[in-house]
Amino acid sequence: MQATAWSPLVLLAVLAALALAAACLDAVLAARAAGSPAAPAVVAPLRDGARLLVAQRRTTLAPDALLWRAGGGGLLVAAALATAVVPFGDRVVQDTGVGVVWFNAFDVLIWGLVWLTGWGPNSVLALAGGYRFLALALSYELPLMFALTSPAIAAGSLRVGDVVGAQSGLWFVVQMPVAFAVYLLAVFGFSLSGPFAQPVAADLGGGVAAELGGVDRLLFQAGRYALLAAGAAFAVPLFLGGDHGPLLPGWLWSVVKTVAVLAALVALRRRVPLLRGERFTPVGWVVLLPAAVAQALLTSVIAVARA
Amino acid sequence: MGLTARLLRAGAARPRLLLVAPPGTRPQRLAVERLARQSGWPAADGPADGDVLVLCGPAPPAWQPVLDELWRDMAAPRTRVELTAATEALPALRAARAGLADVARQRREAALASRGEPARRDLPMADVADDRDGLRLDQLHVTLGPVLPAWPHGLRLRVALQGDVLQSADVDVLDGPPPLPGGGAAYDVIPTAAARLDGLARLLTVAGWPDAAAGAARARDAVLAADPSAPAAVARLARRLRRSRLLAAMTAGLGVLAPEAAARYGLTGPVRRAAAAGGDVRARWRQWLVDAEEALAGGEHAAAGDDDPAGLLDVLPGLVTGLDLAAARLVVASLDPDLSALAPHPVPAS
Repeated sequence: MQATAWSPLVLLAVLAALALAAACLDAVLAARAAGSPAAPAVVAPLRDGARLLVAQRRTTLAPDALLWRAGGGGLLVAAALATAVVPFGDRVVQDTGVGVVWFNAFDVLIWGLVWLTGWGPNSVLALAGGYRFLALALSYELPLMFALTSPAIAAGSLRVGDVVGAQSGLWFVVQMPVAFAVYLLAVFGFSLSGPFAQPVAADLGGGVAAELGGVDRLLFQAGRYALLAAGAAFAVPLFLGGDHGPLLPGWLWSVVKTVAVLAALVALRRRVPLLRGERFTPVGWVVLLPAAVAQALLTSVIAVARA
Repeated sequence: MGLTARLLRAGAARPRLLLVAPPGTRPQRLAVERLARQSGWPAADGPADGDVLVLCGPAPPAWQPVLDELWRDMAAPRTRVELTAATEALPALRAARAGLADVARQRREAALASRGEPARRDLPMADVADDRDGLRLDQLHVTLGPVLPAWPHGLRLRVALQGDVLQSADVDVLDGPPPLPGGGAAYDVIPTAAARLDGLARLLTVAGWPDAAAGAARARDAVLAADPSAPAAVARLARRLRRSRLLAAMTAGLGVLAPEAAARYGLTGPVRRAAAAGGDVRARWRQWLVDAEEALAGGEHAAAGDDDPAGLLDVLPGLVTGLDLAAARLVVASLDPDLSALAPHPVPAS
């Protein structure tokens, strides 16, 4: 598939719109659960943004300021760069031959960013949030890597465009449902949301975000939504046939599928309590990792048989 | 109107409340929580996240340093309100919103605010101690409370932390306001079903399930308002919680209290009854559900009777030692000691 270069600015606008839409949907669902009016909830994220824009930045006693700010602001950067390899129709910002690995690299970068956000402020609650993230990340990251491997094996290429091309007949979500499920779980993981929000949970007073105020908090929270959106966007070329679909133009199919995955993620995550690291770690290593490896093995056998 | 004023006003329509509820101020807390929920105003996770310090008062002297520290940790825009009766909740929240949108006032606050520096939640220098696996690891001495989200305000848990595991724990309590003349703690009493649902709302907040917590809070408020929809709301909540295998898995086996121990500490309420059914956090929230259902069905006396808070505080350190912070918070939430029912006692100077 021949990809057309695409302006990074358009991609950033798309990512921002997706993240904002996810935040608005989340606020509306929260309002419905709480029994408060839904209409004001639609603009709640904008109001939150406004108050964080005028709020003072905070600091703490003897923070590691550089690392702290880099961690909090870095989530948005990681989300934007990870999305660079996601094709919308035949347009992509960065058509690299190792697109799948590229995406993986930025989700691993999140480890460092979240840990630094917890480490930086010199605060117990934030540091404990960092510990929690590492425990959870150790348990979702390896299954995620194998889940990313399966589509690449089936397509025989690490180029995202080739992975899309290999799904002209059958979407990979049908061929490798386990990998798809593990991938979606990991999206919650690297966006610190839903069942994996323990590192930023209220029981730790906000965990790694406990000391963030003003624009630093805005960047961090926006980064989490942007990562959720990036995860949803990457699921489309990987498992959901990319821009394949009848009638509508390809780019529109990409957008429609991304919005559908994102909405499903936002709605799904409200239905479950937090996973505690202590209880999830055995599941990650004893259930998810072998399942993801078995999926990759099965995919490999099919690929070899076809060749 | 300048840009700052516009942004301030936009943000002030959805402020985050940092609620401080010393023992004995449950009516005020419940009134504020109900109004905030109905207006869609979220609760702050901590001072960094809060715009409004809402004090359910009047503040007893022992609370002044706590309030000062929280206030100092809040950055502008910020405002504080105090309510001494539940009926003052609405005017107090209106005043808070107006205060946040007031540009001149917030400019003054910005000049005064210390932006969190120097924060007192700094780490004391770590020392080294043996851990449970026989390793020598850094150990931090930290106080949890007296104000945390979904925490019995006034409770202080002094813990030694290695990583996020509690190696030891000590409990003390910051006193609430003096009892009203002639009333004892009676003004604080609410129907059993509402008390259990209030406990569930906090436990579910700690368990990180905001939708279910909101469901419990709605059911609680319906019971308090004697709304005819209350039994249906409780039934809906009970169905949802009992069906959640994940919630059961996350709360099973934590903070196990044997029936003999519950009897020895003089417990007579839901914690004692739950001890017969496994005695873990899961058994306790299930017992609360049963209590709430029975109380609503007219069996008020079967479900009535709270555990002696002094007994709960005696039990607490043993139950949380060796757990990580998340599990310890679940255990505290599942005991839900009503600190207003404690006999007044002197606060140790610290």
